[in-house]
Amino acid sequence: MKTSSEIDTKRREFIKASAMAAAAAVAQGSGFSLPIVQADEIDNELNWAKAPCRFCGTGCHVQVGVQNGKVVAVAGDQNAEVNKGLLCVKGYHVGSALYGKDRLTKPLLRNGSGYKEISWDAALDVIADRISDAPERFAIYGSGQWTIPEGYAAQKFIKGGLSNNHIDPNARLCMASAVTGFLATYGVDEPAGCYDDLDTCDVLIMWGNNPAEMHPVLFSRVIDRRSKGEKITLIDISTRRTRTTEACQHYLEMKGHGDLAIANGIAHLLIKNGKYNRKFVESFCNFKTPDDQNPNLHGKSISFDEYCQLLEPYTPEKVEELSGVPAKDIRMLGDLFADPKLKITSLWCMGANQHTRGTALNTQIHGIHLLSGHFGKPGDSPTSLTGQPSACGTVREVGTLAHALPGGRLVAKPEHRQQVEQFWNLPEGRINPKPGNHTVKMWESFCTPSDQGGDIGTIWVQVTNPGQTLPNLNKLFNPKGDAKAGLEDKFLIVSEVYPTATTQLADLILPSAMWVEKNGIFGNSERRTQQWFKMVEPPGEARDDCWQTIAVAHRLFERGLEGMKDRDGRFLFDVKDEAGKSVPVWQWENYYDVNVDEHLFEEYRQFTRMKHKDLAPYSEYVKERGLRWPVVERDGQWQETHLRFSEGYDPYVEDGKEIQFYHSTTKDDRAQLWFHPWIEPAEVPDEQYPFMLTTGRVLEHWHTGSMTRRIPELHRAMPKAYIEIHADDAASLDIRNGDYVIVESRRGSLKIQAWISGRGEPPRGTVFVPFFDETLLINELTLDALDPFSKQPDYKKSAVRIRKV
Amino acid sequence: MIASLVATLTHEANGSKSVIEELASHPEIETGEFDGTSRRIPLTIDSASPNGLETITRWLQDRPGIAFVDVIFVHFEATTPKKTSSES
Repeated sequence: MKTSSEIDTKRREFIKASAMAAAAAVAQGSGFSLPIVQADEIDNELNWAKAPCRFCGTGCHVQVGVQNGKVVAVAGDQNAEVNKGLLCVKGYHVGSALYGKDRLTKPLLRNGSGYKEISWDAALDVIADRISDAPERFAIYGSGQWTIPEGYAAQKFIKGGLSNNHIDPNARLCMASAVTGFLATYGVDEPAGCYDDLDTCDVLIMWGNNPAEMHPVLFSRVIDRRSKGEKITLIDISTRRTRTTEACQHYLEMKGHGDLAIANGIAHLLIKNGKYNRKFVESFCNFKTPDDQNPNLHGKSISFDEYCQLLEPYTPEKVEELSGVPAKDIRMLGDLFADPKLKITSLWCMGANQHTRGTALNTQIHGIHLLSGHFGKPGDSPTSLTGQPSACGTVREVGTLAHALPGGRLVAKPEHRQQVEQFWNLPEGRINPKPGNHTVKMWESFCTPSDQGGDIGTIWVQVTNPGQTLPNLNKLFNPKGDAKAGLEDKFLIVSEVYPTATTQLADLILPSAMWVEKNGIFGNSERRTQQWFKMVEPPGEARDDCWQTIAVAHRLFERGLEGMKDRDGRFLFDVKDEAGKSVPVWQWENYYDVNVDEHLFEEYRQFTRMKHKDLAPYSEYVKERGLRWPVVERDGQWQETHLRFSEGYDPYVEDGKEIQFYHSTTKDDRAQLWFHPWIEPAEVPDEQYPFMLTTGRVLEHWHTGSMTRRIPELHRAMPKAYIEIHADDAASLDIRNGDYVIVESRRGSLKIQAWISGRGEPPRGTVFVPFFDETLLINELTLDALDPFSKQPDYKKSAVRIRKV
Repeated sequence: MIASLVATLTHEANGSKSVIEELASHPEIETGEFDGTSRRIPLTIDSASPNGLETITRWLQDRPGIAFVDVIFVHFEATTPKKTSSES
């Protein structure tokens, strides 16, 4: 029998071998993800359960190992289709995100310059007081990291209860242009394809994104294919070299807004050379251009000939002038799209969305796929990726946006409001028809004195960090002169897990449960809805965000607020047990007597059918590692959908239709191919501010780093933000690697260290700063210019100047 | 603790045997396969010290010829010493 020391030795050898295999895989470029660690081989004394990773929109599934009430291990889940057992470096350490030393554990109320601890009961009264005083001036700022039930509860509370549409998510800052792009093209949101396209495409084009660092497990699916000898062409269209560039055969370095010209250039060539897919276009597409008199997502209908005329100026030479990408490379792209034998997938994320013409660019990328017929077959797909784990599932599908209702409905449409009032059993007219404030407007209003039109008095922030992520932070939170003059009546409530740049601004801080400290459901970038059960207790008095919303709602119900009652006088969140008896889930000690997630999810499911985004029963997600909607029941089985709008794949495409855009805005089953002209970015470098600042993320840190900077391994790997600057620009300013510089825009300035010839390499005239570091708030410098349709800001193009300290 | 890293050589140091030899000479570092076609070297660290990763990473970053160091995998082990028979 082996001794414990022999077992330990074998175990250490296995771990060392795995560690070296992981490093070798990354070093050789054959994978950007880590090898499979068999959960039950490591330690079968742990309790293992499934969950999607807490971090990005890829939605990798992990196995979480729990012992003595604590997460002690994480392994990739081999049964997960998304990641097949692989994880990236953040995913492997996701369990540690729960155990930072400074977890928030008690409600805190501002007291002078500090805070005092209060009870949850007192905290609920504080919030109820603020809402009761002025319900129309209350707002919720939510998140693509909300679980589906959390977002749904917040949505029902404010829109169905308070008749108030001031709810908007942080996804306004990341995904809104993708949404408007899908709506303008197909009449319905979210990708037609799925991650399977990465396993079959011949060509993968990255439009301003860096999946090697931001979606590493997804990118590894493509790299792994190539390392096995498959021929696949990778093209990186970007404003700077990144880790992704190193893996690509073609790097097309463009100026800001060059993407708009490039997309038009490809369309121009397809038409000029007669290589567009005539049958596809004539059968399935209409043509549109913006309506300047009445700007909206429907635009003006134009003929094919008019579309061609509008594209005439976008010759390869003109596109080179506008974008900086050589004409020969534009022709190369045109030739690829002209080849019907190739399968082409386009991927994009923040480079295309955080863009003052983000809606336009999204429609143009969809457009070149439609024009060329590279659509509707495995591997032929225009696919936007999300950064957050449930921007799709919660924000886009539940509709936690100021203009939206669940299931793709709109507050402005009477029939949609009636449907929702029926589903929620509300009195007719309860839902307000006027859209609320979108994110930037919400915060501008909150930061404006009430007597100067600042119509938002209280904001409740859940699961996000606007004090670090909003653009032009100084304008909002550090205005010149007396920062707080006229704002004394404003009140900020923040539900969080750790102290952040936002909790520093808060009047009331509520400690929240996180990830596997609560039940949850996320929806990832490929329409996959994924469920998990609570595995460990949250620390101290931290509680689920969903409970917090329901508890506040019930406090208002106790005070007699009509909005908290349905048509029959019952509490909005009346949750029953199996015997049909109401359970007081607003009392924390009873919250887990029933599965509130399941109750809310089953209620929400019925909303999803209108836009053919059908969800299966909750119990199906318990069994699976997620299912891609629409999920429909056939022969007693719940079947997911890989490709939408394509016959044979999508259950809602009628027989014989081949391709059917059944939510077409022109009501004729056709998609809309848009022409948009190239225009200059909102801010361009000039003599005073000669550099273009672009911002983004790094592999080691997720978003604002509030979780990952507390994971020692990740923090050590990337402890501080930096400014990437081209070596020649640095030399001209006498800047050496590691020197401190001042980077300054018209809005703010930062002192930061320079990194020359590091991981990323911007071209001359461009600099890059990641936004994960809360000690270096780069969004004090960024621009708050918005896309006119999506209201999404552009974080990628701000003019700055630099000098050595 | 056991960890793995990838060290990326500078352009100038690519192909330099002395850099690899110096890394391999560290008692807590094992170098993986490196054929010189990529600038990246896989490494594992096996350190008795819980701060070993940080110490060795800083040492690596300071080495001439190393452009940057990425942490790939970390496995922490319990540092509480077991009781000896005289203590139990």
